[in-house]
Amino acid sequence: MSGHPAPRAPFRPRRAGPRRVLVHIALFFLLGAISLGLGLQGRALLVGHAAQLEGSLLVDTLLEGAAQRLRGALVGEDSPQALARAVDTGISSRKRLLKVEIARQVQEDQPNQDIARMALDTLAQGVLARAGEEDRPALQALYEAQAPVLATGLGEAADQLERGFSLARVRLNLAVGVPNYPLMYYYTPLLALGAFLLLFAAALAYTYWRGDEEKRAAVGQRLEPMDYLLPFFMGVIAFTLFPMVRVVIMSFQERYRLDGSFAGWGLGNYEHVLQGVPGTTNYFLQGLSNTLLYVLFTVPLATALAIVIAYLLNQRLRFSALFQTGYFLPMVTSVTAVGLVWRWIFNRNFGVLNAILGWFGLAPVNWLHAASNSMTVLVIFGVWSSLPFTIILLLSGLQNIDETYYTVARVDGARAPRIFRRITVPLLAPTISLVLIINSISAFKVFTEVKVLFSGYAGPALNMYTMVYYIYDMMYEYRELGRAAAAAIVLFVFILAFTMMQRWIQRRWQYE
Amino acid sequence: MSQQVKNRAALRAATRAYRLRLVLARILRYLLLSLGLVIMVFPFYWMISSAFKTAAEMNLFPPSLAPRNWFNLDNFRIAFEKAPFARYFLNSVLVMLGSVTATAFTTILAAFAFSRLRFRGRELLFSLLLSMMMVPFEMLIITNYQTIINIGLNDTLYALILPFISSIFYTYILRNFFQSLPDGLYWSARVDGCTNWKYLWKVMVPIARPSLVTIILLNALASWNSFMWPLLVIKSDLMRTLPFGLYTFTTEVGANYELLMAASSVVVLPMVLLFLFARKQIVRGVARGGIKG
Repeated sequence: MSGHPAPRAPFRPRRAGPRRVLVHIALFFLLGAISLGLGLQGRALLVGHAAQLEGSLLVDTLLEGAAQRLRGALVGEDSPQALARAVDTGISSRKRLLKVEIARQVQEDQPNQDIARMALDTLAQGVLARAGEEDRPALQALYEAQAPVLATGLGEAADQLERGFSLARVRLNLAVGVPNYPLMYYYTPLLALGAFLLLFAAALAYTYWRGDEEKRAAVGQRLEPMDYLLPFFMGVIAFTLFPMVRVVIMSFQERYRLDGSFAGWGLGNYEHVLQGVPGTTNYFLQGLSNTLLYVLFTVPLATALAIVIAYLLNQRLRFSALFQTGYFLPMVTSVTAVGLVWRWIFNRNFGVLNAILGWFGLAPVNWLHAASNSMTVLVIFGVWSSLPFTIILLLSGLQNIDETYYTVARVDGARAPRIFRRITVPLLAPTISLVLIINSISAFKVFTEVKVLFSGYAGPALNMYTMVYYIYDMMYEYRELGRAAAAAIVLFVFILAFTMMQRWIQRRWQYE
Repeated sequence: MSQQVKNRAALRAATRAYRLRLVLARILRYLLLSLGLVIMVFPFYWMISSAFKTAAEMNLFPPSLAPRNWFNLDNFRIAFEKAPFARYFLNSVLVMLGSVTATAFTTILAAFAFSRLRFRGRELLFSLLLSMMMVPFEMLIITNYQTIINIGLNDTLYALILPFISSIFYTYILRNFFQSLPDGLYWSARVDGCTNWKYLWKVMVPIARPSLVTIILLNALASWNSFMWPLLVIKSDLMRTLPFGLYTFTTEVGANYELLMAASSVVVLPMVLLFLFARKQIVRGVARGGIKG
């Protein structure tokens, strides 16, 4: 007995201890402080930019406003040409120096009213210096009569500009082109996150302080799943959930552009997408009809071919590894690379496809550069590249069919075609419908194929827009994110319909 | 007596006819399959054979089936001189490694939490995630594009990794596998004083290796072949990945298809090799729900 090791302690699953709570308090406190700091820095940056922007806007308003008002006061409809020219040159002769002076006074926080008066006076002096000897007294009198009204109006306009200037508007006005102040754009979420983390840390600290050992252990255990989920959810929230919500909002922000500016709220984006520019081709509707045609041709064709091939591959077969490798190869290869290969195959002058047509005495076809052949080319490429995926799904469907059905049928003397028609196809029906839907969904997103086959354009005559191509164009070429978002929502509606069908089929056939 | 002989003869004839039909059916089957195989594989053969042809050979009509010299590496040399394909290759490898590692990490942890740990609202949360799966990436891309530009990561390799570090689909696959492991294993490990963390890495991950390999392979394929996203966020030449680099290369060399085919071979080859070695895992992964969509 004495040789035995000491008996183990009775079973008590080790719990995520109080230490975990302490670590979390420290961690969340640190993260909260960092994010709060970054948010504050971003806000400070934004305020700085705002002041800068406001200043330059104010200077511009005062300068241009003074010039316009003065000209309006001095030159009427019936004034002689010479006078008008004199006033213009007189104003522009003082502009540059005046701008510097206005900027100085704005920085010194002089009242807008005074700056306006100063600006008008300076410009008027310039005009008087240029005006002819005979015009001068009249102009002087005219100006002196009008000056107080002009200055008041200008000062009020400048005041109004200052009042209407909010941080939110600055953010929208600042160009995106300026790099390295990303924090500025996200200072609100950063501040919120920081505050939340700090509060959370504080709450944890409070329970740790007030609770007993039992309570601490319980809290520690609660925290555990969160640790495991945190990295995952950071990605999901930032790059799936947020974009999902944002794109819906964006689709209602009319002419929302990459730099964050937009014209207003409403259905304008959808209107533009669905109606296009009057008098020109509506590329979205073209894309929609192309996409639908592509789905309609490619998916049934690929599925029908795949059923036959999967059926043949499913039999006892020699070299099955060789066959499988060959048939599945297009699935793993880059669409960009094999798209180029097909471009070479479709080449009009030296392409192998036209050579094969030549064997049968057919004339060479202008595959890639004739608009009428574009869809054929795209469908051929699409069928070829979606076959492997389709075959694999069908093959695994076939392998799930119970062997007994076949044995019984064979015993009853049924022949292969009959077995295929009466047993294989009906039992494969759930898989087939599933494959049709999954393939339709992915065919709806056709983009790279077009981009590569037609050398970076939407077809030889801009006739091959697809829905995603349109989205890409709006987003990347035109920077009209709002319109791209509206188009994406329309695409999503289609995909949603198919997904619902897929869910329904899966539930109906208990298919996993 | 004679009736019996007749019957036997008829039976023999029928058997022979049946066998003949079987043989014919088999021949037909192999013929059909081989024809299909030729069509499926031909583009790859054409790509590789064109990569070894000279410009003069490319401009023959009808084209010659094989290059005159299979060891003519000029096209590869010229392609690598004209565009930094070595750099593209490195970028692709870096992005692939980064994205595979990050995704595997987040996926393993999340799948574990969703399958083993208990917390309130677990099932609800997971079904919400699953419903998010049907939102196409093409829709998210708009905001993500703006986000990447706003945080100043455009034109860096991080931009190619960051949006893809959490995959709901892979988490779903791995969670299903984790859930199929018996509870007894977990509790006996816990009784022995094993923490969750240790159990995950010492027991679950090794057992789940086949599923993990599948996920990693699918992820590697997707990352290597991705085209639309790099096209959006990458500008400068030295940050391009292979498919994007190849695409811009086409505008540079125009109709010199022998160079394009050489470059395409370089892009395609690593994934073909990967497929030859890991066909079964990839096929299984695809069968489970897809590389597409």
